[in-house]
Amino acid sequence: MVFNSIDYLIFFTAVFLLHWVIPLRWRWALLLPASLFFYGYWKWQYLFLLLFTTMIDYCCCLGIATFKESAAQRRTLVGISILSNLSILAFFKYANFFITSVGHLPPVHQFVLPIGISFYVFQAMSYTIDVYRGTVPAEKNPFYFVLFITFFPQLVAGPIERPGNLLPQLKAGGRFNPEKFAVGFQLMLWGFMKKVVIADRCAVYVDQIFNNIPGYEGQAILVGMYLFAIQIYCDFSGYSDIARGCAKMLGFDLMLNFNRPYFAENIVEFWRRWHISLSTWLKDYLYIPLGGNRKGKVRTYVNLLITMVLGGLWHGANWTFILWGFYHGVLLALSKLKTAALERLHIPSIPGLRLVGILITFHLVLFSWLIFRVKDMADLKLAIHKLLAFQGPFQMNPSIFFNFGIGLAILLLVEILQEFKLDVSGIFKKSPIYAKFAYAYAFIFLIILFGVEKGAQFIYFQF
Amino acid sequence: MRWFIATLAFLTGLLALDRGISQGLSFSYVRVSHDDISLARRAHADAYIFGDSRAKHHYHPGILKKHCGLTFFNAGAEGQGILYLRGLSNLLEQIDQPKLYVVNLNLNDLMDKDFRYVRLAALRPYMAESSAIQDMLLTYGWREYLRMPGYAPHVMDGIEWGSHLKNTWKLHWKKLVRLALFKTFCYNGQLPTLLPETDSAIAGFVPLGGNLGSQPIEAEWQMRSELDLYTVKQLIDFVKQARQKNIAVVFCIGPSYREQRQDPGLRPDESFHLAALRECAWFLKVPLIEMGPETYPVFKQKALYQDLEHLNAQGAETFSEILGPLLAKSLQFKDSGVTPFLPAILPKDYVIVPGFFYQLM
Repeated sequence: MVFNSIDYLIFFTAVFLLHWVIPLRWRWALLLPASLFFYGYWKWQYLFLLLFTTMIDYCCCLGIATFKESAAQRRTLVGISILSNLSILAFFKYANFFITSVGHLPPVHQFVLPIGISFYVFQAMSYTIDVYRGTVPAEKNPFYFVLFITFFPQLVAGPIERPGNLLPQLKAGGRFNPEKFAVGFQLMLWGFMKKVVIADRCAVYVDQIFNNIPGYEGQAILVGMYLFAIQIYCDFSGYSDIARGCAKMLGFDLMLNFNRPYFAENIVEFWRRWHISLSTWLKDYLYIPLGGNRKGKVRTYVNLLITMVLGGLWHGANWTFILWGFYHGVLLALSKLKTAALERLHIPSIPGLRLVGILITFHLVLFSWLIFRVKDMADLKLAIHKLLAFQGPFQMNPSIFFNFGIGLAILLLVEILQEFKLDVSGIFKKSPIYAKFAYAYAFIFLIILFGVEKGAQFIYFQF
Repeated sequence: MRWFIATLAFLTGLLALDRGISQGLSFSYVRVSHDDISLARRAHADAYIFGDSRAKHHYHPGILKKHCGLTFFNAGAEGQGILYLRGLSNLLEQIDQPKLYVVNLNLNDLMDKDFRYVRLAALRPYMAESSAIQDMLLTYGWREYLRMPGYAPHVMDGIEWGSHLKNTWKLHWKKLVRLALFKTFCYNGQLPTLLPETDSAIAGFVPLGGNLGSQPIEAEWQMRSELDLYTVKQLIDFVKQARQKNIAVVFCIGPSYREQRQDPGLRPDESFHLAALRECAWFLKVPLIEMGPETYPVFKQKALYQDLEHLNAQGAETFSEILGPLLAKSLQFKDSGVTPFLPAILPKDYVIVPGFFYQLM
């Protein structure tokens, strides 16, 4: 089930009403079947896969908690859990890619990639590792554990939650809080606006250009890159906002996943603001265990490269994603080098330099979106060639801009205000009820009049 | 209790705003809209040219008038196809008595299933006025019921709610949801059409400037291989309805620039689509004018094109000068019961396989 559908609105309304009607201790009995229904609505067969992996993790973690004294057994159990998760991911996501592109053999299977597999596998792995490390206790109740993995607002495209944050909330529940409901509703509308008004309108042109790179010249490809930068941000952060909004309306707080990433001054800051749940996951469970920055400069850069290449591969089985990760790894290494050099030279911060940093970072990221979006390496080569030639002209239907321009202007305004430390959500919280109504009405009609109803799926579903 | 009242107030406000905004938009669409449908309805021409962007850019009304003696209006719209012309013709016939419909067809028009729903969005603001539009929208399932009430109450009545309510829970909850709908949704994505257009857009015909680039590369375009029965049915209904109203119909297949291909002829999939269109025209007894570069080599000239699929202003004049006499000739056959395929000499590979359309008729 996708968020931007009438089916979901009906589903969520029913879950929301029932959630606040039934007693606290039975809420899991609503949320768990609802989450499974949400996932199974797409392909019910894959529910078995989801439950199978979840149960392996559950059993392993119970074992880890039981064998407190035996390090070998604990290591074996955590190994089994991680291996089973990675095997499933490898089979569904990477087997065909490596066999066809490296081994030059026919594909090993014809299965469709289970939606959101990378997200729930990473979430399950974080739980197993945290239990192994002793940072969270193993969950004894299998229903709460399965609910933690399958909780529908964040199941298919994150945020990749940590057990320490979500599990206690699922168990504790809470009373209906009107203020929290209002904030959640606001977030949900904000997310829908980003997705259906901005991202899906951009998608029309982005798909047209990137599905036919040979048919377009450099100027068109550049426009396509800018539009894709807008699209992917609004699509993914829109999803996260809807997820957080829905969870909040049900009384749960999910972690922040995007923090105005295009206002980052350098690439390190960009990764602190973009897909925060993944970047922190990679840092905690990959970069730091690899040694992080504790084993010398060279090793730090190597670790960064390994982490980012694997992060790129997480997005999909394609050389373009691997290159995308490598490119970001190199940028991160260069950014660290630059920071170290500036510190050594004691160069003071110059007013206005922040804006320059933001623009440079944005355009470095913009180039990475080209790598990310093209179909294959041949298209990438051709696109770069055409960008350098920079021929045109490219005609666009102005009505497309009209349809998403209002939404984009509002988004920019709000993000600029927030960047200048204006607490927009705080103002919303403190505003009188009629102002809240006006906000909701404005966004509802913006979505109805300018949104794409049967728009594209969320981009990150495929990961 | 406080929150119950607040919720009630919110929903009431939402409903009132929805009705208010939709009333305003409805007023705008009737009087000031510059969308293609609204402009066509205000044209009051003798003949209308339907189809996609080619119908807008290729047919020079002045030249066609010179040959046929009729006033023409280019009622094509970007990316539109058969469903659009079905809805638009239905709207036009309510206020006018046209004499001729020229339908610009593309080779894949009968197979084009993927964008149906998206295209119907342009017709939504007019669904209260056209039973054809309502019927087409209703084929998209229960979600369309959410947009119907208030606009097409008689359609809802025709669904025999009473008996269905007793038997199926599905229809029961549909009716409940019906109460909470947004009339404004009809205008989803349509507001840019309220902006003023250029004079040429208002006139209908929009000649294209510029020339085809020096190194055109053909877009990869995989055509579907099966007919979309629903679209075919709409085309048949369109012709039948026009006949009932004594309006002549002529199909026309426009030129494309294919010289950049290794083999500039039709690809096998295109040949299949052309055969389907010929068969369709044959069984509907509608003259089909084929204006491709295979029939008229003049359209092999790159200088006549703005891009691979569109003629420029010079190309449009050439096209209309050739089409005008053929159109005039096809009108003479109107009542004879004969189906003329123009040009009179059929291509060598011309094959009609009776069967499919015969059954549909």
